Amino acid sequence: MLINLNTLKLFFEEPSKEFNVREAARLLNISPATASKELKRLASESLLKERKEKIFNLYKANLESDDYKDLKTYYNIRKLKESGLTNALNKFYLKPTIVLFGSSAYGLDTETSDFDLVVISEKTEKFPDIKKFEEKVNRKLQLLVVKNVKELKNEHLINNVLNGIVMQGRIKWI
Amino acid sequence: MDLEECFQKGLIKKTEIDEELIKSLIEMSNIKEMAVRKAKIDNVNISAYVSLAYDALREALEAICTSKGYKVLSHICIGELLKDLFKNFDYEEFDRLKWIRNSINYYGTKVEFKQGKEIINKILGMKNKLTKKYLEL
Repeated sequence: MLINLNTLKLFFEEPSKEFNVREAARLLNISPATASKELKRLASESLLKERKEKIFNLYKANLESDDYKDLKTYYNIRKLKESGLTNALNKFYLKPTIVLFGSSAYGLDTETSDFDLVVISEKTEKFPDIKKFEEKVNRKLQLLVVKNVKELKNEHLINNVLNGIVMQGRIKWI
Repeated sequence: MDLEECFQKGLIKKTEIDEELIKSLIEMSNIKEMAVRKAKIDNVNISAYVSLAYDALREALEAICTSKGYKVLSHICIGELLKDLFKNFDYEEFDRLKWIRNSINYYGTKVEFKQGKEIINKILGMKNKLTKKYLEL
């Protein structure tokens, strides 16, 4: 599977939205013919859902596809890292363990979802630059900072975190 | 840098087990640990003591490597070797402590007092746990 993530970026950013070929071509800065070919290919690989409405072929993210979810999770991690958030957290908390959890760790997040992160460090002060990075990633960031994952107390939350993606470091239970 | 590269670059060498060297490395490691434990640590000097505690850990780990017949010339390679030698070695924790020490020594990072104290405890805890586990003293 050779996937061009540039095309999928549109759908990763707005998983609930349907795009027609012309709109996708304009946003991706490619010709409609190329966009049409590329979108058809992604639909044939089940990464996108395709439907016809009048004369238009409409495409949207296929949230039921495991391949889509895998790529979306990867995209989310890259997006967070490329925003500089990991580096900033490293500087402030001295290379803490960082866990992405919730819908964005499963590739099921939509444009209105938050990025949920747990930071595990000796220092538990509130991260001061949260707004700056929310603007960069264009999402709300929910940052829980604890010394130990057990401090989260709520069982449901702990399980969510344990089933999340460890972006850096390791979660220790014992 | 992975283990293979460490060997290729000559940063890890197979040597005879040198009991005297092991003893001396442990002694120096303990001296540094005592210096940290007895120090009057404050907001200003905490970073220096985190770095010194790390040196104590590094020397203890060098002693463990020596006891297995390896001379290691780089602390990156110490982690790679120990990860390979001991299945339960907490490589991630060691890597983080190395990162903190490098940030202090090379980038002038200042560690806050409360966090620094906890990091020192983690470093010295790791040193003593590993020495006890892997060195028959």
